[in-house]
Amino acid sequence: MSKSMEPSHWGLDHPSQPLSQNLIQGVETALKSGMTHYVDVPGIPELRAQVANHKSSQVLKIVSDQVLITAGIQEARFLSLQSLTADKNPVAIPKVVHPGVRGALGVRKLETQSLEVEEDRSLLTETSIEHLLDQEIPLLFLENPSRFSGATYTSDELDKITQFVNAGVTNVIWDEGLGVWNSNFNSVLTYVKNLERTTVIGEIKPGRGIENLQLGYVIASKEKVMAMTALKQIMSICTSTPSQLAAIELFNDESGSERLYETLKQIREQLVFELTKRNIPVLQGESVNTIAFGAAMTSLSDTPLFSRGEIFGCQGFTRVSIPANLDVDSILNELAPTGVN
Amino acid sequence: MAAKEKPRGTDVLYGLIGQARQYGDAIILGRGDPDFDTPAHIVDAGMAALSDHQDEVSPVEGILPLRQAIAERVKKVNGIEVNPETEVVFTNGGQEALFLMVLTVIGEGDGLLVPEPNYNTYKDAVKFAGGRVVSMATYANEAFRVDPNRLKESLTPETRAILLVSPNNPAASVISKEDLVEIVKIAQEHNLYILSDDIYDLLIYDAFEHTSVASLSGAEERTLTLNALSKTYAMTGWRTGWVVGPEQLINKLKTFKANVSGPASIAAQYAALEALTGSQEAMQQMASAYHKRRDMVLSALDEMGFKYGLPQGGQFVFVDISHTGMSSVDLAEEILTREHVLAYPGGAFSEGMDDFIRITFLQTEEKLQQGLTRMKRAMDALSKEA
Repeated sequence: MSKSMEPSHWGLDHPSQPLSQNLIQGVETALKSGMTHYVDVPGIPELRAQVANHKSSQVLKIVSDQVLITAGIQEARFLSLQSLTADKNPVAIPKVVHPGVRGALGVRKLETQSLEVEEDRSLLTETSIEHLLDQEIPLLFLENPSRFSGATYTSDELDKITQFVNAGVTNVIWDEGLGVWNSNFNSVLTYVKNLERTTVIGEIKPGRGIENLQLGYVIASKEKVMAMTALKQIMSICTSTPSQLAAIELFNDESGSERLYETLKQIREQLVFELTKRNIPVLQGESVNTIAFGAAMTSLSDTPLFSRGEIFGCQGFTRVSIPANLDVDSILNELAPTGVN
Repeated sequence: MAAKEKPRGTDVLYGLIGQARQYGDAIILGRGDPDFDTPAHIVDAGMAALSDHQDEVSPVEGILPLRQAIAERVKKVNGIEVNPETEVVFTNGGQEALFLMVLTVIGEGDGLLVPEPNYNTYKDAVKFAGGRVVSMATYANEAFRVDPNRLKESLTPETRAILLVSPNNPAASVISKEDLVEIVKIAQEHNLYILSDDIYDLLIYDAFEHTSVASLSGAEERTLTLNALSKTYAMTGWRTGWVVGPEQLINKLKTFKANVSGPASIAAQYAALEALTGSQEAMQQMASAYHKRRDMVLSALDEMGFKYGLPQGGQFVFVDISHTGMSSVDLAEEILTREHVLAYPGGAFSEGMDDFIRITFLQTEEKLQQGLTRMKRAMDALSKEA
C-alpha cells in the first residue's frame, strides 16, 4: 500500500485535548463494574440517545433507532456507502473529497461519478448543484464542511440540494464531521423534515480528546440503520465498549470546548495572514481546525498534521490540521520552494 | 412431539435472543460471551492509554509494540513465524479479522470451501465479497472430522480458498495434525489459500492438541490466521483481534482495513498489549474454570440421555437432539418458553445441523447448574407429552 493511502497519511481531521481524570475514572468504574462484554450492535442505548438528542433540531427530532454508533468515521463512511449501494449503482461524489470516501467505495469496486467543485472552496459548483436534477443519481455523497478546505455550504445552497433530494430522485449522505469547528454551521438536519432520503455521518465529540478511540455515528432512517446494523454485525459485531463509555461521559461534561475553538481560530487567522503575505493562495474555509493552501511542505509533510492535496483530489495544495499548540513559524519555515511537490 | 420444521437461518437466533430478554430470569446457554469480566490489570492498561497515549496516532495495522507482542504470541503458541512490521494487522475483534480475511482472498464468483457446521457469519462475509460458499459435510459419527478426501471431492473450479476453524464452532472438534498436513497438500496442488480461525486455540481438552495450519510446511505462504482476545481473556466488548500471514496477503488486508474502519481504538490496543505481555494468571484461571464447566455440562447431558460430540476444544458442546423428533428451532423455542433457558439451534449454523443444539459453558457454575436443571425439567415435560 502506498504511503499516501495509509490513513495516517490521510491526516488528522481534528485537534485533541486531554481527557479529564474524572472522565477516565468514570470509564474505569463502568468497566470494572462489568461492562466489558458485547454490547448492542448499533451501540449502547444511552449513547445512541445522547447522539440523537444532540443532533435533533427544531425541524427534525432524531430518535435512538435512527442512530448507529460506529468504530470511527471511516466505518461510518463504509457502512453508509456500502449499505446504500447494495444494488451497485454509481455514487456521485465531489471531485475533492476525503480519500476515505474513495477507499470505502473501492472495497467492492463501486463506480463513482465525479462532480465539479469550486476551486477556492472545494464544494460543489453552482452548476453542479443546478444540474443535479437533470441527472439520475441514485446516491450522492457530500461533505459539509469540506474535509479539505473547511468551507461550508450556504443556506441557499443547502436549500437547493435539499430540494433536489426532496424531489425524490436520490439519497444523500452528508458528512458533517467538521461542523463543530464552524460557529455558523447549518446542519442539513435543520433543513430536512425526515430521514427518508438523508443520512448524516460524523465523529462523536470531535476535538474533545477521544479521537483515537475511534467513534463515529450514522444518522439515518430506522430501516437504513437496521440494514447498516446487519452489515456491522458481520464486520465487527459492535463498537468497542470502552470507547462508547468515554463518549457517554463526555456528553455529560460539556466543559472545555469553547476555549479550544478560540485558540484554533486565532492560529488559523495568523496562518491565513502569513500565507497571503507570501502570495500563497488559501482556500476559503470557515472551519477553524483546518486550512488548505497552494504550496507543498518539505520535511514536515509526513506527519499526521499534513495531507497532500492530491489524495483529496486537489493537486498542488496541502491541508494542515490545526492543533492547539501549532507553531505557525514551523509551518512557514517548511514551505517547499515553488515547483517542489 | 412436533414434526420437524425447516430451520430459518441466523435470523432465528436474534428472534430467540429477543424472546429470552423478555424473561427476567433467562439463562442464555447459547451466546459466546464469557461471563468473566476483563481482568483488572488489562482494564488499567486501557485506562492508562486514555491519559498517556491519548494523542498517539496509530497506523492502520496497529501500534508496533502490540504487533510485536502478537508475533511473539503466535510463534510461542502456534509455531507461526511472522515479521511484526509487515505481517500482522490488529483488528476490531475476531469478527473484523474474519471479515477482512474473506475480503482479501474471495472476489466476485470465488468459492470458499467451508466444512459444516460453521460459524454462520463466514457465509455472510463471503456473500458480501461477491463469492459463494462451497459446503463440505462433516459427521457426528466421525467427530465432525474434516476428512481430507471428502474435502478434495468437495472442491469446485471456483474454489479459491479453504476455511479451517479449529476448534470448530459449534461442533467443538479439533482438526488433527495429520489431516492438516493432507489438507495443505491439497491446497498446494490446487493453488488455494487457507483461512485459519484459531480463536479457541488455548482451550483444548483431554489429550487433543491444537495445530495451527500456518505452522506446517507449504502452508505459510498461502495462509491467513486469525485470533482474538475475546474468549480467552474475557475481552469481548473491547474488540481485540488480529490476522497474521505472508506480507503480500497482509498488505492487501491492510488496505481493506484502512478502507473499512481504519485503526482500532488506542485504548483497546494498549489493553490488548497488556493482555498478551502481562500476567497470565487470570486467563489460566478462566481456562481452568471452562474445563470444570465442560465436565459439569457433559454430566448433566448424560443424565438427560443426550448424545453429544465430545468437545475437544472451545467453550461449547454440540448436542444431538435427533431422538426428540423435533427440529432444533422447535426444541430451542420449547426449552426457552417453558423454562427460560436458551440453547442455540444447530439449524442456525448449518442447514444440515438441525439435529443439534449448541450449549455454551460461559456462565458461573451456579447459573450453569440452574440452567441445566431447568432444561432437564423442560425435556422431562416434553417426553411426557409425547
